[in-house]
Amino acid sequence: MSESLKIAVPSKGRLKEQVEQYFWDAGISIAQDGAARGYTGGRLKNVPNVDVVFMQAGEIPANLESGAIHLGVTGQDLLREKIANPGAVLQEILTLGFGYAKLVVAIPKSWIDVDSMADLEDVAAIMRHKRGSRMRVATKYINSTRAFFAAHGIADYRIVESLGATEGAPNSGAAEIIVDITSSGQTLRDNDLKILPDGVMLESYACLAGSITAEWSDAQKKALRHILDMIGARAEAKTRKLIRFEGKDKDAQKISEKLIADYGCLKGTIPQAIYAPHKKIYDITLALRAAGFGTVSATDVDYLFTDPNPLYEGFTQALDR
Amino acid sequence: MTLSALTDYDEQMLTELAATAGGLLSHFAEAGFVRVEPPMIEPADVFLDRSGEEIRRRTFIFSDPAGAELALRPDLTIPVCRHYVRAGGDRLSYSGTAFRVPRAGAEAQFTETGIEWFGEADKPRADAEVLALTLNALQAAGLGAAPVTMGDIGLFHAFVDTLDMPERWRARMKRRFWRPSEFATLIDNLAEDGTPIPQSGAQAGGGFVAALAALDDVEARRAAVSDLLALADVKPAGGRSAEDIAERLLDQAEDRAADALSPAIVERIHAFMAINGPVTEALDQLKALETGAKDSFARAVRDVTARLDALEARGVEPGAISFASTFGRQMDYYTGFVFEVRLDGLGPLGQIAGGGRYDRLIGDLGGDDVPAVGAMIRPERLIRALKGGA
Repeated sequence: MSESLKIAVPSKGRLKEQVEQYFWDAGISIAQDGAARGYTGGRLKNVPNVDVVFMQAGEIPANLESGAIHLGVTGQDLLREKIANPGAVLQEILTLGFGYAKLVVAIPKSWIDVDSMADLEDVAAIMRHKRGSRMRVATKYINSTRAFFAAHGIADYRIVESLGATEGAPNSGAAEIIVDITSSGQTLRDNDLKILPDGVMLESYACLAGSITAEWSDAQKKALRHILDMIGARAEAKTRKLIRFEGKDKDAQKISEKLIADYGCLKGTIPQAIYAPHKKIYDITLALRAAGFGTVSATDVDYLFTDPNPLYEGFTQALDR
Repeated sequence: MTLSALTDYDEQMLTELAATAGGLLSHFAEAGFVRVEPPMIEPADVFLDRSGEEIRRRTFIFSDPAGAELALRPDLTIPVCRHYVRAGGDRLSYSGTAFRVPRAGAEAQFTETGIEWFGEADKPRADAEVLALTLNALQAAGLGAAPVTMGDIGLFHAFVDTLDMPERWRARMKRRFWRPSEFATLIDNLAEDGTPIPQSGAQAGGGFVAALAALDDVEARRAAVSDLLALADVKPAGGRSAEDIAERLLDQAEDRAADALSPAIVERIHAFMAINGPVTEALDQLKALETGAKDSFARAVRDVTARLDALEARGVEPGAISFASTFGRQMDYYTGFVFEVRLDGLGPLGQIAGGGRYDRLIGDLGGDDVPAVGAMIRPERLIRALKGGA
């Protein structure tokens, strides 16, 4: 029985590239074993005891649910779609800032009289009454669609499971409307579809999720801490600049405490240095100037490690429950 | 989740089940019902066409090797009705297994024992007969007085038809019968400004609708819509023609121009929806809502009376029965009388029996429309209840 932590990442496509970029950026690149195109395993550079498993993004949720893997990177839309009660079996540890998409209800542009889910319910009822058969909704997101339509009181419809390009269904006559994932909405527009303003079901990002049902040994928790420390430190560092200024220790201490309190800065390694939220550096510079500290520099931070690591603490607490 | 809801039946359970179901079936047999056993597997469309995604989510659907979509029957009423379409017979009974995707403590696999009665033109009498048979069968099995809730979907429809409002509003009200909070919202919207769906000027159709509403003439409105659709180069898509779209826009314009529902009507609606209590009291409240006209509502109220009289004639005390104007069973095909026997304190497992009238189902299933009413009992739940809910 392998003692390694198992982490699943998408095996192909843009999402795979973005995940690889993310891990490289965090200093723990994914190194693939075997032939470049094969779906074999891999490991994380610089992190011992980790097996990287490549699989289809759509299969990752089920593996997290069963505990076959400890960690997985996949879309929030897939977690919600594939798992009935995601909170009971996994925790979304961190959203990763890429892979953004919206799950939306999209209808033909020509339906100029339909602007809301309430209008849609009306149209569906009339369609059933007139035609005798139900309005068809083409989608891959069966569970999410059912839940959303039920919440809006629409019962007069049938789901037609989409195997290919969902957005082509209304034009080909396979369905009347669709529920699909979109980022810019361009593909929908290209197919003469429009998004209902209150038909945005979910806004989804790629996220790193941890399985609560998996068995976690001490060695695996150690590997988890390592990964979360690196990822967390990189994510935190990206939101901050290191601000340095000249001055006597006592004066510097005083102004630092004020900046920490007023601007949410983190204490630096010396009184003349603080880690500032990058949006606030000009405000902080003005405050320093006003206090007589004229020359201020701001530089990037590569990693900002905190102890405890809230990502790790949050997840292990979920495990203990 | 499904697997954990499936249980083994041991010898004791099997014996009790056979005895209980057998007892119910003989009771039905004495009343002339003949037993049938339709297939456990049917084409999935048979259930899904009738009931949409709500039922689909609870139904076990699978494909055969040729790719045809099949389903394990989630209940026996539809399969028995299909049998009737194939083979006839007016009084059919059944006792067999049904399957549902389990939710919230309910079973995945269970027995339904029941009856379906086709072709009896005296509907209130048939309704009462079916309810009486069910209650007497439960009593014979050892269940004491059990709370019965009754409703009537046809009565609700007839009531809505007495309300002085555009037909399209009546249609909306009837659709929302199943969802009390949305029904309340609809009435509130209509009472506020006569628009069922609040239209904001910001929405694409909204501004145009406001302009349409300002035109007095129906012909002018129709012409304006045609022009707009031509301008927008609207190609019919998604099964809706330009005519369909125009019709709804015109409806929306009329809604805008229409007066809000009068307080008197709103009060009448609330009075009807509030009827919920012992059936004799409910009947008085219903009669109080009659307008004196010999309309379908008056007829429907007379049917409720006739049903009660027939029940009393069969020895069923009205005291145990309550009537709720908003009571409906979650099956799309009921058209009139509906009832349920539910024991308190057992959660979803408390529903021991239920049934109702479904006059359009046979026509829907490919036969000729025929009056149809039925009821089913859940023997496993009955056994559990008799043992004290263990």
